Amino acid sequence: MTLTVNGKAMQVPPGTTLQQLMVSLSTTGRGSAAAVDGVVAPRSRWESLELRAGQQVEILTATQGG
Amino acid sequence: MADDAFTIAGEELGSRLILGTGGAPSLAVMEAAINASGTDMCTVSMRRVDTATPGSVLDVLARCGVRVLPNTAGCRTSHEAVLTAQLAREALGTNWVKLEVVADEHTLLPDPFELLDAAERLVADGFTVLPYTNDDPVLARRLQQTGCAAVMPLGAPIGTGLGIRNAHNIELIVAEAEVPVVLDAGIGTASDAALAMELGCDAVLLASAVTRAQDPALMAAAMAAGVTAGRFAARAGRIPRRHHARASSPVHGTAVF
Repeated sequence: MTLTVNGKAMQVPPGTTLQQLMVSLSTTGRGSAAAVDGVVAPRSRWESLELRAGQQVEILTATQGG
Repeated sequence: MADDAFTIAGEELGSRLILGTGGAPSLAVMEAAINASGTDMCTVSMRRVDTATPGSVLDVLARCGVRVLPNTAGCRTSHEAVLTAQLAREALGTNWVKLEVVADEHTLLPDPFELLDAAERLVADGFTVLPYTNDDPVLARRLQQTGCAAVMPLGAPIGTGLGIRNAHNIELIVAEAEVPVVLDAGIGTASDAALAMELGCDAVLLASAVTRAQDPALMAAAMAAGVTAGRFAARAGRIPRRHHARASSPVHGTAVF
């Protein structure tokens, strides 16, 4: 199925969880957070949150900034 | 002579200088500047993950032993700012946020309507909100009324280094503030930071003035000295301005030749 991850189309197997997506992108460390369709997904829900085709995922991390 | 304590939302900070990390040419330069500044808190931004970026700003801040204050830089609407703050809370484990909602790329001035709306929503959601605001005493008052933990008026637009363009408004904000006032943005050099403190601000937040200086670590030390000098001067109480001269040497007992 296709997701939009940080604005780009990405193919993942059906049933992929947010945790699996985060592991595949190496973004599970402290300092990263994700929103699915504009709603924050708490880390405690990453394992159980199954993504659906067409969903928009934003993954942010801390970076240098004012 | 020690500086007096500085607290926001009941938490004591070890320095009245808050440093932004944006604009530093490398993490190593940023680390040297943080150490030279003696700051206790640094801001970071939340951006899309880029796995190609080497090193982490968070590792540097942890090594320096400073608090991390996420900002909502780049947000144009209350909705974007609230979501960014919620993501920062999730990512960094802090409910403190430097709330930034700017109107356009050209001025980077805060959009007062979106800012106030976001402040209300974030306070209601349990955040400790530190809003970056215009040098407008009325807006500062409204932000305090929503429950913001500090107000952070600009001296001049972000990154301009133009100093404090409306010192009178900053004094008006300070005069009625019941929360700490942090002069945020526009600082160009150490005398600007000293002036902010002389006007009665509780702290100064700056980034570009240090990170884009020719020698960031040296400028960081200068800013720390400026903030301390300004704070001491504000507490000491300056002499009144006079129209005419007033001799400091005794006027009696002068020789007659």
